[in-house]
Amino acid sequence: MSTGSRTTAPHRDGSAGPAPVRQGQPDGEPALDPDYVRIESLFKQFSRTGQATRVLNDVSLTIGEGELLTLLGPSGCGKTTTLRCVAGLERPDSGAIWVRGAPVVDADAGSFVPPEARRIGMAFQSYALWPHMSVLDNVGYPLRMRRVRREGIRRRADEILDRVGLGGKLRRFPRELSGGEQQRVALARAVVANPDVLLLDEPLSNLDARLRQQTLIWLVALLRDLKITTIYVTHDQSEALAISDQIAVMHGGVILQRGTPSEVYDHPLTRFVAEFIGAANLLPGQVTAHRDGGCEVLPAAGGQPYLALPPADAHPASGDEVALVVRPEKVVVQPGHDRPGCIDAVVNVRVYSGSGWQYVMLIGDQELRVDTAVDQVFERGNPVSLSFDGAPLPLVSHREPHE
Amino acid sequence: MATPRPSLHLLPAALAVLALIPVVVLPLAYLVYGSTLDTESATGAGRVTFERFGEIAGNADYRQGILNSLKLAVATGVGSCIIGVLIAWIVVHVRPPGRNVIDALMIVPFFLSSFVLAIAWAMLGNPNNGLINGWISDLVGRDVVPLSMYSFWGIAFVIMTGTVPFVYMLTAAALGSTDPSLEEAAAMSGAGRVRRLRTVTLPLVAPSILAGVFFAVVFAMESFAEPAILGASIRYNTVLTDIYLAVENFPIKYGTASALAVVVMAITVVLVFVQGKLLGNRSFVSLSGKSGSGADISSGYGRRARLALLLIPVGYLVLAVVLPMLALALISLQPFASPQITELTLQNYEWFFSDEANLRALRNSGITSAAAAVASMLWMFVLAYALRRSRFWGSRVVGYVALLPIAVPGVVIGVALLWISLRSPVLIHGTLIIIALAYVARFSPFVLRSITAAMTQVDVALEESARMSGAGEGRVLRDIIFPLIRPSLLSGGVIFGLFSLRDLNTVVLLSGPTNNTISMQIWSMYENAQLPLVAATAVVQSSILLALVVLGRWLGRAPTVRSSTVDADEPEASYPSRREGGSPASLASPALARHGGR
Repeated sequence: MSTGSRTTAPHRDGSAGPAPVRQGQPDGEPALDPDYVRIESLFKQFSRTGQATRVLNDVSLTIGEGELLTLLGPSGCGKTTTLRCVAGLERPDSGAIWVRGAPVVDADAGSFVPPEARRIGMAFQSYALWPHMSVLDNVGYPLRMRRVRREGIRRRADEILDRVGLGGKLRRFPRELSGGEQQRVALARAVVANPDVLLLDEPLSNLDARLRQQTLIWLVALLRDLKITTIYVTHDQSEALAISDQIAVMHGGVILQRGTPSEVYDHPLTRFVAEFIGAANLLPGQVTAHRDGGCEVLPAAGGQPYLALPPADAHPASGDEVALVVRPEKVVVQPGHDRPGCIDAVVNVRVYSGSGWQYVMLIGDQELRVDTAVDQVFERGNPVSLSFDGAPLPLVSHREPHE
Repeated sequence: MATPRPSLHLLPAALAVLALIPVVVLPLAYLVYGSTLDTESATGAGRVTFERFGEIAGNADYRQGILNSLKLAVATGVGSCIIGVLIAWIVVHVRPPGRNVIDALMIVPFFLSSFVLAIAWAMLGNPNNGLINGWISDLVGRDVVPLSMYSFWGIAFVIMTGTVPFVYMLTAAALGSTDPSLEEAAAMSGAGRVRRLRTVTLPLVAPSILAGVFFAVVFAMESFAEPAILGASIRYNTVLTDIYLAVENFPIKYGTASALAVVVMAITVVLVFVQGKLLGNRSFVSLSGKSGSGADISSGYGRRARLALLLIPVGYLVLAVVLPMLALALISLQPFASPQITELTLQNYEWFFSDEANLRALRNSGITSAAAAVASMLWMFVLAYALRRSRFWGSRVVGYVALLPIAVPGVVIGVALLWISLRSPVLIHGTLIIIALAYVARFSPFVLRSITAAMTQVDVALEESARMSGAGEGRVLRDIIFPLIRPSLLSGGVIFGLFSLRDLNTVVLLSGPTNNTISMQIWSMYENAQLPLVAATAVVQSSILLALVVLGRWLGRAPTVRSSTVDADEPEASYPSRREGGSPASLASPALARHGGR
């Protein structure tokens, strides 16, 4: 399927047919469309028993062609509603969504393309496999809806089921499959008709922890291979970090931050993002000076000042209260108190994690999570001194703006 | 979360909703209106007044009838509660040998015609020449009358044999689905067997028991054939027999009949409403009449105790099914009713199949039941889907109206439709149309229950994933919803067929020589005291019902089950609907378990 050749709204007449599995973009192809999916100021509220809850509050996003963007946030943050608006299963109160340059919904203009006409594939959290249809019928259904002939359906379904490793289970019924297999059938069904966009709604959340890890790796490989523009919804930050090209962190119906996984991890813009992604410690401190485009922050608990980088739009002045973002693995622990430049702390909890130790240290009454190598053993109640690696450290405001 | 609900095919949905007006709303409205007219005629004009209710209150006989109905209801409720809970406890917790067979047989009394059972008990237990009295007299060598079914307790007993299954099914299902660890925790806390039962198990299932008891009470309030057959010779009247006599005896008193009907309807509607509140939103999806594993620690009963306790369910089944059916079979094979078997003959059956009147009645029953069942399935399918998809103003009201006839006794529906048929500009009085209409009005709610129970099990994501695959709304209905609810639709249709084939109460006031049904044929033969012929006809009818039950079980199987090929790796529980359920299949579907009726 070549890109850019079709700019009109998708049709349901099946004219696109079952194109062969999308090949990698050949060299020399025009640049990938950076606005492949464009979401513009979505608002949505649900009213239940007379009480209105605003679930989307001015959500805007663009997703580049072939990109995998993850909507990450706690439950109720609006990530699934955003996804369902793209799918056409929800209608926004206002705002618009374009796919490949064509509007699929424009609430203000009153236009709405029904979900079946959008050429969007979706894998549901519950898999939503039809229990009365075999694996082949489930996977072949989107092709049937596009009026593909029986042999064509069979060939394409075979191909995609082989790809997900279920080649021998065409005639099985969903209930005869394990959870992991059902999940792969759901995925096969979502991509079988070469949709323009693939939507994945918490696809791994129904798998047990061990299977989830395996499936995650397998899924990364599959999605890289298919090169379909994908929106992935999850509340699991490690999943998001592993799989995404781009992450958009949502909270309270608002996108707090959008960036690559390392941007979001290393440079959180707000306290919420810092705490939600990778259990970060937020250490209160005070700006003492400015240097190298950043500022010096002295932790309130003492020790030495650290070079810190504030978010681009924040300009803390000297004397301002701020918070340093300290990842557990960036803490250096030494035995004993009163080391120069270090903060005194006491070991409170120690947990063995196999690859190392996880500690909770107490600085006064503030808890600090610390991960160390396996040879760094400190007994509970012992005094330790802490310092931090990896300057410049990220810095966020002392209080959340809306707190 | 709300889904966009565009482009519902409006016309069929609107028609399905509007059809409720002529079938349910108008007859009941006429009934209420008629009860307030100051004329006893169904066709004449009259002034609106409420004197009729004052007259009823002032009439000692009518007061007694209402009181008798209530007394029967209470006696039945208490009796079936004790026996039903006892049997459920024995089957689920004591776990005697053969409990699966008992469990399967417990629904049989439910499907037999209460009318035929009443006749059977009249033959078994009448004080003059009842079989049991005759057998005992032979045994002791002199004439004694230890048993008379022609009494309050006789009537209550026969009604109870039909209501015990309600309490049993609800209680057994609740006991079976109770987490055994709850009782284990009580045991670990030091509670003994009796204490566990009293403080943990029974309180947990109390709402289900209560719901079952309400069933029994409503059912007893609606019973007509039992008091009519067993109470006639002792002049025992209930409000429903009073209604019947007001219409059947000259001078015909439509006004009085209607007013009495409104009174009894008010009582039953309130009862059903309370019962619905008791059941609340709790799902009885797993209600298949099949009892679950039960608590293992409670099954520490000795072999002898378990065998002894087995006598209770077996005894119930003997009294509710085996004995009456045996009596009917025995009498149907004799030239005249007698406790002594002197001569066996098939002449009654030969007569049945050679008399054109019988065959016509059978044909009428078959045609009206089948036509009404098909119409009802179609109508209720569209209505159920419309109610699932649309949240239009008043859709709750529509749902209530559609289920309302569940709470209305058949005789009352009969009176209501009498108004329609007598006032109809087109001649429908005395035709098969009015019979079929009565069946549709009375039994459609059971079909609706069955369908909605199945539809609520269809996860919305199954529809959404089809939309995302490119299917429009019509395709989703055809490819996803219909195949998934088909077993429930079919078993709902079979239940409808069962109820209408055995129905007496609804059509007893509507049926005449021109539109006779098989139950009405038995009714008139019984009035003429042709007992062996009655027995033969009842056996024929019961055989047809039994065949339908078997057909229903077969049709209601879950589709495309091929569990023999199940993979070794454990299947995930992402299809609760199909796994626990399977039960749209079983004839004891939630529809029945919730609102049984005859």
